[in-house]
Amino acid sequence: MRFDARAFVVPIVLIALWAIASSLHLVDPHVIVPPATVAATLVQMLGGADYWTAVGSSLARVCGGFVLGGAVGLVAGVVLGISRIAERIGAPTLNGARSVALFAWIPLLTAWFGDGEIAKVALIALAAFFPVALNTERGCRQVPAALLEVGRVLEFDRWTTVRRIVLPAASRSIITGLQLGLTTAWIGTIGAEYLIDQGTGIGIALSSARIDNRMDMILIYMLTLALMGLALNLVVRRSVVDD
Amino acid sequence: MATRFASFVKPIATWPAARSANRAAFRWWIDPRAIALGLLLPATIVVVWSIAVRLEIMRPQILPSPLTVLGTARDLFVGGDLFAALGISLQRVILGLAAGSLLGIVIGIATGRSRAIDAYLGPTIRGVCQIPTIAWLPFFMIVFGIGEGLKLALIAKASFLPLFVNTSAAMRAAPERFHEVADVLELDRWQRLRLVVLPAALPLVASGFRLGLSNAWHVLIVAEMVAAAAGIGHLMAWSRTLFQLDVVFVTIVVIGITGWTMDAIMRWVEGRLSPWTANA
Repeated sequence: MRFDARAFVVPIVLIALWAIASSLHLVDPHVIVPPATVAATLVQMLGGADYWTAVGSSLARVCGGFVLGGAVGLVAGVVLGISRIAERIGAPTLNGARSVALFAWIPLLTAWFGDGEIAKVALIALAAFFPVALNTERGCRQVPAALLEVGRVLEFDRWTTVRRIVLPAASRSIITGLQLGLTTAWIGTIGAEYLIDQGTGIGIALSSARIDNRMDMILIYMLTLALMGLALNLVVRRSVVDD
Repeated sequence: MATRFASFVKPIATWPAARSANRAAFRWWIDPRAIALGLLLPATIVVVWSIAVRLEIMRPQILPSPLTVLGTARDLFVGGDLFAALGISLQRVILGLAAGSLLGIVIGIATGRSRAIDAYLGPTIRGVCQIPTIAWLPFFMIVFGIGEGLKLALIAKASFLPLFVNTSAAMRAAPERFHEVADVLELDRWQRLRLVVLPAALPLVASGFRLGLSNAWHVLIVAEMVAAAAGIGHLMAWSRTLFQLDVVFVTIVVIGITGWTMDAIMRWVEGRLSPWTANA
């Protein structure tokens, strides 16, 4: 991976334009906040506790929701993947539910579980559930017949077959599902926080910054989300390399 | 090469496996036993739901009976409210998708054909696209207010990325040896475009379009829930505020069916544009 300076031309030009337009008062300072103000706010926020509380809350939420949704998705995927009858009963309903845009579940979840943590984590879990279940099912279905025959020859019971043959053979597909699940769980976290703005979290902080008309804070939180998304991607990629 | 960010955002093509799965799903509609099995779980849910309502496990305000929901669905369909809301939402999706995909395809072609343009523009675009679309909502709300501009910008942003990434990759999709064959056959520029470049590019662009449409639909629902006075997402959020959960149930189903239908249409288009992979 070679360093390519051309990548920095556009961002530098944009920031320069931004600085010039701000200092010449060509733009509304509430909409296009001067870069200096953003930098000052950034220093102030990084020094305060609120910012780190929001980051921590969001991370905790995405982990909780991902573990919950991923675990349920894994079990559902294996059951649907190894049993033809379970697949025929469950798959149509699952595919139907998957067609609903994720955040359309929020009104229902908040009505049932209130505006607290449960509704948010339930939505994040739902976000992680579908890709994990789908990829696990696909992986379990595509286990080579020869491997299953070996299990039959060795007279494995069902549980042993799943544990010793199906899961290892499906591991690549399952990992893909988990990676996708983590990405969708992250999007789900931001959306859940933004739409159910109770408690702490980056999405909630974004929402209140919008209400206070603080564009500088919005920009900083957006940057934070990009960096966290990037970090999440790195974690995911690292896990593939290890595999 | 400046591919540091590029590798995070990969072109997404529909796998052949997914296509055969679709065909398998299609067969179910013909097999009555499969239909019966498929309806078993939804039927069970409705039964449990009815019992829960009868026993008043949850307040009727937050768990209306299946019959109430059915009645509400009929009223909404007959009264035309639902189609009016859905029409507004679809119009927003189409306009935003048109803007986002046009931009994505143009910039995708530019970065795909020219290494220099890609070196200048690519990293910035891919970096900015690391910000999830939902996080742009407050930003756009301050810049555009809560009018139609907001939805248009948000949907355009949501559909831009897959089209940009896939179009850019599509320009380089034809294997080098295909171009060599074209050299040997002495194809002119137009023939080469028609026989080599486009056939390799179209399936990727089509799946980018399909993904862009799906992204657009998802993000529009959020935008309408937060900042709109009309549309299916607004109908849902407003009904939730009024605790009309029957309407919420109906809108969830309508959002699901609409999303599924749009995806089915795009799958069909994708199949038409790449018949050889559909038959693979």
